[in-house]
Amino acid sequence: MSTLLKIANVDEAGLTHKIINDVRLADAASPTAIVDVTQESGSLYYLTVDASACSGNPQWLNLYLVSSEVTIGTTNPDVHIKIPASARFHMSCPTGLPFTSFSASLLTTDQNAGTGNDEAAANRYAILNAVTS
Amino acid sequence: MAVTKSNIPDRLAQTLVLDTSATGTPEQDIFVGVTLADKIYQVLIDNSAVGAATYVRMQYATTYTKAGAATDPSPDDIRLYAPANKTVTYIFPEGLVFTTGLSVLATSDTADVDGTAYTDPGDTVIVKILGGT
Repeated sequence: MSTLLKIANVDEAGLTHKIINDVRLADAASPTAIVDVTQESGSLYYLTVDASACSGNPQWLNLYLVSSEVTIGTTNPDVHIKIPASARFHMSCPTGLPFTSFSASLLTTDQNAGTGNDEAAANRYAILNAVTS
Repeated sequence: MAVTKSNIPDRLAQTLVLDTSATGTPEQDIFVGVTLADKIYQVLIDNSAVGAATYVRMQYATTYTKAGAATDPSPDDIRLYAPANKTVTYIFPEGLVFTTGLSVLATSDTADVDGTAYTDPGDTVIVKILGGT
């Protein structure tokens, strides 16, 4: 898991939404996933990936929403979306996308069995932002 | 007579593809290459009638090619998830760009299926895809 993952989770203050930020979603040539980020079930409402610094390869965002047991290359992602090189990606789920557990990874392969990220290997990192309940 | 003149903005997306019974058999080339659309702006998956998760799988191609041998799979460019008995909407405000065509299927299979047909959803799944140029 990226050591740069930050979460604003302040349910006790009456703020019902969580904000997730990771400035290095993939942080190594063989990245791990950010796993069970919210530590509870919820719904995803908004997500962005800023891959504008990732100029060499398209990447695939993988979301794992039904289990907190995630192993890249083994666990099949529930949501899998191609992010072009040098691009910013925005996705909204206005009615909410329910999840049991929220985990994510970013790879430069579209294969379920893939494990690598050539952009992170070249020190080019993508930024994840998301809003969940 | 008081006359007011207004400019009508250009349409962002103009082609809606509606599949009222999506199955594991691919719907090939739904936008006729890129004639009717070259971007995906919105996908709605009505999985309310199904008691299991459904995955809408898309390839940026005029023909959806099922996963082959492990060394030569044809994975998805996009895979979207709808939980059991839920309707979910994914919105991509900037559009997901494809350059050749788009082919799509709906299945209960999370994993890639090696060469054989994908499993149909357990009941009627409605998929709406809004595209534009």
